[in-house]
Amino acid sequence: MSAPGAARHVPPLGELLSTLGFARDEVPGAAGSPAAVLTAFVGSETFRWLRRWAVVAMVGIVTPLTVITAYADEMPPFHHLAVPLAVAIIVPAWVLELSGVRWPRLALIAATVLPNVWLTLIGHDNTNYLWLPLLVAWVGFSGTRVEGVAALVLASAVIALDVAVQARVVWAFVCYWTVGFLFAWFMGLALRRQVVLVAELRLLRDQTEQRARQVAVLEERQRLSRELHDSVTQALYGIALYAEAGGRALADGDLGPTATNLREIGETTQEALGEMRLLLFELRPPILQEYGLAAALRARLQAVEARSGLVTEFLSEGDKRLAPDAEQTLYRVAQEALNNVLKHAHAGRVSLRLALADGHATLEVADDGVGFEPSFGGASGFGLRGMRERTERVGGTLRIESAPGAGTRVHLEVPA
Amino acid sequence: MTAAHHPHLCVRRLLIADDRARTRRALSAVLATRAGFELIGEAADGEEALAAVERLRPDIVILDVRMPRLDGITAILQIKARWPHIRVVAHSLAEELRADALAAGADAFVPKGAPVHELFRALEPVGCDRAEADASLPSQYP
Repeated sequence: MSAPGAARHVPPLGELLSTLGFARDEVPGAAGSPAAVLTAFVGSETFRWLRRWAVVAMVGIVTPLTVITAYADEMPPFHHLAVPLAVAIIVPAWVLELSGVRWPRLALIAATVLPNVWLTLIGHDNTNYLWLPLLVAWVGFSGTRVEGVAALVLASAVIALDVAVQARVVWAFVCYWTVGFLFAWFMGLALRRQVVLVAELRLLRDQTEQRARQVAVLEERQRLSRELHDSVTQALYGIALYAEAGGRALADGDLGPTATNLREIGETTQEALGEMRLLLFELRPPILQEYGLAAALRARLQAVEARSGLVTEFLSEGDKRLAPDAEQTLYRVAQEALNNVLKHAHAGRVSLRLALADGHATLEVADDGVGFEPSFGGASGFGLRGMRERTERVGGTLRIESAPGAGTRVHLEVPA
Repeated sequence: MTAAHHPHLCVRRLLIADDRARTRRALSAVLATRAGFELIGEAADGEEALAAVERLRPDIVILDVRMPRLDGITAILQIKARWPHIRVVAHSLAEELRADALAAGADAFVPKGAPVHELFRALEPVGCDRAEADASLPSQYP
C-alpha cells in the first residue's frame, strides 16, 4: 500500500543510495548511521518504485481472485452489477496512476481498498482474504508505524464486518486471521530489517573500500615524497656540494679539482633529470586504468631503460583485465622491484614477465645484478616488506630469489 | 687545501657512511677543500660503517641516518657504545630523525642541504687543540 505521506524529508544520500544497488538518482552526499541508512532507504526512489509495483502486483493478483470467487459463489443479482463496478473503479484508478497523472494518493488507496473490501464481503469466501495479510505485510515492510496500525485496523474491520454480515461469530476464524495478520505484519517488519541490514553492510563495505583507496592514495603520495627525497633531493645536494667544493678550490687558486667537480655536477644533474622524468612519468594520467597492466608495465620499463641505460626485456601473455586492486598491486610491486634494480642491483639487464590467465596472474622481475642475501630481505632500504604486505592484502604471494653475485628474481602471484 | 699540505697541522681522520656513492664523493670533494681533515674510508650501509670504524678507528664519522641493512640510528648506538670518544655527526635529509639520532648518541645532526659551514662546525671540535685548530684553519671561503 502506498503511503500517502511518502514524501518524507530525505537528506541527500546519493552515495548511500547507489550503494544500495538500485537507486536511480545520483545525489551527492554521504551517510553513516543505521538511522541514516534507513531514512535514505525509505526515501529512495528505488524504495518508492518497489512499493508502488508491489501494490500493483497485489492489486493485479487479488482483484481478479476476488472477482472470480465473487462470481463463483451464488450471489444475489445486484452482485453481478457490483463486481464490474468494483473493477471499473480499481482498474482505471491504476491506469491513471501508472500513466503518471498526479492525483491524491488517498483517492488511489480508497479506489483500491474499498472495492476490494466490498468484493471480499459479498464473496463470502475466506480465500478472498488473501489480500489482507499481503497488505499488512507490505505495510509492515514499507510503511510508517501509523500506516501499519491502520492496515491492522482495516484488516480487523473487514473481519468484523464479515462476522457482522454472517451474523455469527466463529472464534477460530477470528483467531486464525488475527494471528495471520500479526504474523504478516512482523514478517514485513523482519523483511524491512533485513533489507536495511543489507544496505548497512553494503554501505560499510563501500566505506571500507573508500578508506582503502584513500590509504592507497596516501601511501602513493608518501612513496613519491620519499622518492623525491631519496633521489632528486640527494642529487641536488650532491650538486650543491660539488659547487661548494669547486668554489672553495677556485678561491684557493687551486684549479686541479675544478674539472672533476664540473664533471660530477654534470653527471649528477643528468641523474637528477632522469629521476625527475621517472617521477613525472608516475604522475602522468593513469595509463594503468586506461590501457591495462601490460601497457603500463611496458611504459614503465621503457622509462627505466631511458633513464638508466639498462637493457630491458618485456614478455606478456594474455590480455585479460584484472580487478583494479590486483592490477594496482602488480604494478606497484613491479615498480618497487625495478626501483631496487636501479638503486641496488648494478645490473646490466632486467626482464619483466607478465602472465594474465583466468584465476590468477603472475609477474616476475629478474635482473643480472649483484644480488643480495635474502636473509636481509627485511631491510627497509629495499622496501621488500612493503611489497610483501601489498601483495598479501590482495591474497597474493611474493617470492624473492637472490644470492650475492647471482642477480635477483622477484616472483609475484595474485588471484585475478 | 688538504691536510697533506700542512704537515704540522692536527689532522682529524674521517669516515663517511652514506648509501649513495655520489653523495660520498661529493662530501669528500668538499672536505678536501678544508685543511685538517683526512678521509680514511667510506661505507655504504650501517654494517659496513661498523666494520670500517672497527678497522680504521676514525676520529669522526659522518653518517647518514637512513641506510640499508643496518640503519644509521642503530649504527650510532653501537659506535657510541663501543667507542664513545669517536665523534659521530648524523647527516641526513630526514630532519624528522634528528631527535632519534641525538638520542642514540650522535654528537650533532646536520641536515643535508644545510650550508657547508654548518657541517664543518659540527666536525671541528674534535681531536685537536681548539686554539691550534682555529689559528691554523681560517675560513678561506665565505
